[in-house]
Amino acid sequence: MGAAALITTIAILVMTVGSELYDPLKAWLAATFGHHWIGKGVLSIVIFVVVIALSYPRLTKAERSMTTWSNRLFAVVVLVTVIIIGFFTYEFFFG
Amino acid sequence: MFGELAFVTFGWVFVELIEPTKTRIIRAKWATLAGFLGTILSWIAGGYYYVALYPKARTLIRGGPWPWGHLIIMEAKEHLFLIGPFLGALLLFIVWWKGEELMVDKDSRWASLVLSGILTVGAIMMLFMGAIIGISERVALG
Repeated sequence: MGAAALITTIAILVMTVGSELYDPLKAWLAATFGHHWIGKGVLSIVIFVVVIALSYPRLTKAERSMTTWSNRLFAVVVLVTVIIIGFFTYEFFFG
Repeated sequence: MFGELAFVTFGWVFVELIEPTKTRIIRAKWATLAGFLGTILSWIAGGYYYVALYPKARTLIRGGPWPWGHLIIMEAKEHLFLIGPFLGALLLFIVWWKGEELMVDKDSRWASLVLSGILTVGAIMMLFMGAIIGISERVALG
């Protein structure tokens, strides 16, 4: 589940920045799910569940350090937060 | 309101797990459940507000003296929020799965502390950003 949370966090970043820079993606999300934000939410849930399903057999075989992946997840969440706030700040002033 | 619930409960989990005992772990379990439900309910309630009711406020804010209230703060908030429920689900899973092992297993306890810490700070950020958006709307109303 740690890997799923990490990949979902990165996917949220990609969808957020991607839909702002590439209008057809935002339009597709809005047309398919009724609103681009709902689309991002639904796709995030799908990614989270799929990664859990795919990674579960491997996780049950190998013992992994929770400290390592939780530190990685912490770093990724902080980085994604800074990038998203930085991106919209840049767009506001220079976009 | 559900955001406040998430903030209080995830902060509570963090405190309980600094030095866990059997009783503290039981409290932490129920607090993670309440926090997770808080994130899901705020996703539904906040999502409804954002999709159905917010567009009027958005137009107002964008035309007002604080347009960055929407263009930076709301845009960032609506997307950063999406991360919370998944971290909440992960924390819920670890605390309920490990249970009393959290007293001796430093590895899973550290992961729980990191997650509850991120979620507490994240919930404070969401509340703070929500307040700025609200003020941006009031400023636009004059």
